[in-house]
Amino acid sequence: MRAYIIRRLLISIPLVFLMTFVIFAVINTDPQSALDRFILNPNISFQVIEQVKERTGFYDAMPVRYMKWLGGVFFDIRLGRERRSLASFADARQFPEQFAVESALPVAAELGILDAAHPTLSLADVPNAAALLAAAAPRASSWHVVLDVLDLPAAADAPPPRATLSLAVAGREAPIETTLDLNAPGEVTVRLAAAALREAGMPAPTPAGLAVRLEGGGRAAVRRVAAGLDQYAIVRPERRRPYLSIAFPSASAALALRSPGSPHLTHRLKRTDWNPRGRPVGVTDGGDTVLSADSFRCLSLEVGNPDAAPAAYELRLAGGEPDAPRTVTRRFTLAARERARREFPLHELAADGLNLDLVREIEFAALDTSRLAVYRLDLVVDGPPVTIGWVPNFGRSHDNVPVMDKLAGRIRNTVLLVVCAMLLTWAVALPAGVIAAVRQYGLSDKLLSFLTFIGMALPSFFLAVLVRYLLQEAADPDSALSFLPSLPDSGRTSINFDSMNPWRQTVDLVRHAIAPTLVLALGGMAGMQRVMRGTMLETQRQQFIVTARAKGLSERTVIYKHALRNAITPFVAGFGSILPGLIGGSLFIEMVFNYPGVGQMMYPAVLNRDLNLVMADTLIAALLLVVGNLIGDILLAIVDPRVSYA
Amino acid sequence: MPERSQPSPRARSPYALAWRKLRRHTLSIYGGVILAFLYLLMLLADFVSPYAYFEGAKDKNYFWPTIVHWRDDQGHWTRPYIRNGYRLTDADFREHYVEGRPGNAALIAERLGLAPEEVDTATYPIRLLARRGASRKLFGLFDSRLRLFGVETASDRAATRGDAATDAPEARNPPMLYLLGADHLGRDIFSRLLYGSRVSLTIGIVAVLISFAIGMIVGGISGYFSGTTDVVIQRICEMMMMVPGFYLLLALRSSFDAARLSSTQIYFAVVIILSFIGWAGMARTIRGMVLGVSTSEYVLAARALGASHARVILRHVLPGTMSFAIVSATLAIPAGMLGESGLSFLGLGIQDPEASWGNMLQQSMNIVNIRHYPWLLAPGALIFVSVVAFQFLGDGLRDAFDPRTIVGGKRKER
Repeated sequence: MRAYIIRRLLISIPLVFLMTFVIFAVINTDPQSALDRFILNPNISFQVIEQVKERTGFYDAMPVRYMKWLGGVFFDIRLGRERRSLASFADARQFPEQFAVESALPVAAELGILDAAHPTLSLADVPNAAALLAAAAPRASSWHVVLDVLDLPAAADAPPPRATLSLAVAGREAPIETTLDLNAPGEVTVRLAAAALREAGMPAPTPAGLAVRLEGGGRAAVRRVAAGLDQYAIVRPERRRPYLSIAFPSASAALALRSPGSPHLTHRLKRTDWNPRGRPVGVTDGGDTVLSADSFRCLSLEVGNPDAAPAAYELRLAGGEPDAPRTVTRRFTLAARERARREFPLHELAADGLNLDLVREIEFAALDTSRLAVYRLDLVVDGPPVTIGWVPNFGRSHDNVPVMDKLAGRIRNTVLLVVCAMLLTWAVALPAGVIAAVRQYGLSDKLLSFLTFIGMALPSFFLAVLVRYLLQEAADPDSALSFLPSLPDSGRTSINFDSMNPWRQTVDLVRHAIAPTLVLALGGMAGMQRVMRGTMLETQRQQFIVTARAKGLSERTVIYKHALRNAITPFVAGFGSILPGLIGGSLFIEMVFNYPGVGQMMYPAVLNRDLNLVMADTLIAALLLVVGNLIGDILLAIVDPRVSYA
Repeated sequence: MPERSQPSPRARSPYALAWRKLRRHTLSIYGGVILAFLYLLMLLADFVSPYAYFEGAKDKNYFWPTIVHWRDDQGHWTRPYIRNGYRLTDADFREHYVEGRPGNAALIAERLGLAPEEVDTATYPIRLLARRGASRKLFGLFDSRLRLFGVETASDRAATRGDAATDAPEARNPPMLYLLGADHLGRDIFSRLLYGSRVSLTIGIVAVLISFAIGMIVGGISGYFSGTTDVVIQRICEMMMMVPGFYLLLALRSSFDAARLSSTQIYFAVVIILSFIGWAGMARTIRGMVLGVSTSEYVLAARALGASHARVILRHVLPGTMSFAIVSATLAIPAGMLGESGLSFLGLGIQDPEASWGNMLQQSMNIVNIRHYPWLLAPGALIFVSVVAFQFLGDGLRDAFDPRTIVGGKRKER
């Protein structure tokens, strides 16, 4: 027996490889198309696409890619020194999301009430707001003031009140003014374009010079003053306003930037905290700028004079962990807007008291004639030469999340669903099959046959749709079907799941799982009932049943002790075959019920050729299949003494 | 010359025997009749459907099934006619189907902001052999505007006469004969069901034919030669069977770029995918049967007579497995149909505007749609009916080809 198991396991190893390779090959037939959705998305920069290409091994031959994937999964071997990233250009994927969301920066909820007694509100009077707004001012493309018209003048023929927004600009005599008639109560936004000013070479408006004046009676509240960010720059940071974003692993680290030989360069460093609302932490004229990590986590750098762009920068990190500076990759790429790159050797980056040696790559881009930007910086430390991890490393999915993280929760959900459905299927289908066989051609057999024909002919997705429809009708008190029990018809949890106590949470989970479980179980029941009936009939015709009857045993004993025990063996052996269904068997149900299981995640993943995700799933499915078959065969040997693998 | 003796009862061929048994199997005859009817409709889809599958009325999305009148306003029997329908929304945003009859004209005109004479209150008889719509190649043979039945609008009649289009109210809001309601683009679901059956009813058969052809040949070779060939082929089959089917299906489908393929190419892509997945199981079973047959005397005899391996396999070995193949093919066709409808349901199969029962059901993914427009479920019912019919037929065939059953479908007790 042991030899048999070992032999089976040995055979299954190449089988698993072959299976995964088949899927790998199919998915890789057109690797370019996997990148299409990145390339076509204007919010994703070409750096990200390059990163994805590197990550997915776009430039390797397919077998090489497969071997690399396999190596990563089973051994997680990194030949050569492992580079641990200390700090890195903020994951570019986050930029569009982070920066596109807010185009207006709320400053304060309510700044003041304007009425006849106090017709003017100057932002200078609101110290907090002015200071906050100053942070956003340099990048703002427009200014907004949100007014809430509380009431209008009592006299009907009086002219409507007017709000005037004026913004004082340094170096300009008259303030920029915008006037708005307030005709009806409600929120009104007054907007001033600041981008035009900047284009004209004017300095940015100072927030302190912002004032709102109300004329003509009525009452209005200044709800909000906001500096609107330049959308374009925000959404596509690398085009116009890139950021050098450095995430520091420890709070004590500090970064020094120096540009020797170019003292007249201006660096404007802004603290951004991964967040566009940051404010500048310092403006320098060349020389050293030292920033401590507790003052920022992320910064952007603009160079005032690109003609004097230095051939080299020095980056020094101070503080941080005391382990070892090692090699520095000295590469400095100056990328023009056309993405042509020139490479320069970086000067030795002297480690200053600390051990970090770190810059693997910096890329600078000359954006236009006035700015130079850093958009890529990796600070890394070399680790031990070879590392072997024992946790399977399935890599990262397209959206740059470790596959294991994505899969774990999903697998749990699907396993819950499938196991419940399987138990239900077995609990119903086997007795039903026995009953049908015992009363062959009787009423119950005919009824069950009828039901199973229906069960086998209804597509599972159609059944799921029908059940959802019924549940929706049940939830509607006006409906004729409202007597049905009301159950949630989609999802895994309610919206307020997090605020429930554990008991309610459990109930909630169960209630959500009932409908998909039932549909899934019904799908399997019909087929299993047919097979059970068939085997039972077959068994009842055997000689030993005749013998048992001839011995005068009761019908009950004959059926349940003799026939059933023998008829059920194939099912016991088939127990192993439920393993592979555990993670892939419920795609349609999950899709229709919007249940966050593996299938629901794998469907778009396969379509998008999210290789790592699909391969992880395939590998797990293959292993489950192999192990399931083995378990089935072993179980068969246990329950059926005629089978032996000795 | 001796008198000609009574002819001895001729041995019936297995197929004749099976047919005799099948005829007694009521359910399978029902199944067969239903299928014959569905396939007949499929062949005549072009002619029977009152509308083309892409023909829609833009104001009549998700429109109700049209009421067909058999009595005129005085209550006398008359030939069936319909009236134009209008969708009115009440204060609770509930939609109502209001017929364009003279009594309703004022209400419709007020709600829809029309002049009273713009409301279409005419009656439209449903004509047998109506000439309507654009001309198309009927049965791929001749140009015709003839349809089995339908409602002729004024512009249809004008086109028949060769006149220019009219400007009657019905020209802007044509009366539509929706036997089963309309879909999201105002297309007739009944017509689309008929056109969709061309895909849904054939794709399973084609896929099963291909996978069975492959399965029988591979299985035949594997079982006949045994030894190393057998081992290699069986390992390949095992692998094919083990690869998680649906992911393979999805992956294969995604490697055919839907945007770049014509509808025919998508059809064949789906066929190829379905048969690619199905052949291994068939090959395995056939191999098991062939393994027993290939050592039997008649095969040895055929070899001894000098028949080539190919001839022996094709002429002597495989025909023995034919009855089994027919039965399991009949039972595999519904699986193919369900596979296609599943693919189309997910949006991976036949693409709109081409119709298939699966992609028509896609609309029902949106539950709100079904609650208000339950006729969208019609394709599901049709899938169900045809799959049941196939299963009944397959069941009957299995019993018919089973030598242990006696006429009447019941098994002999030993």
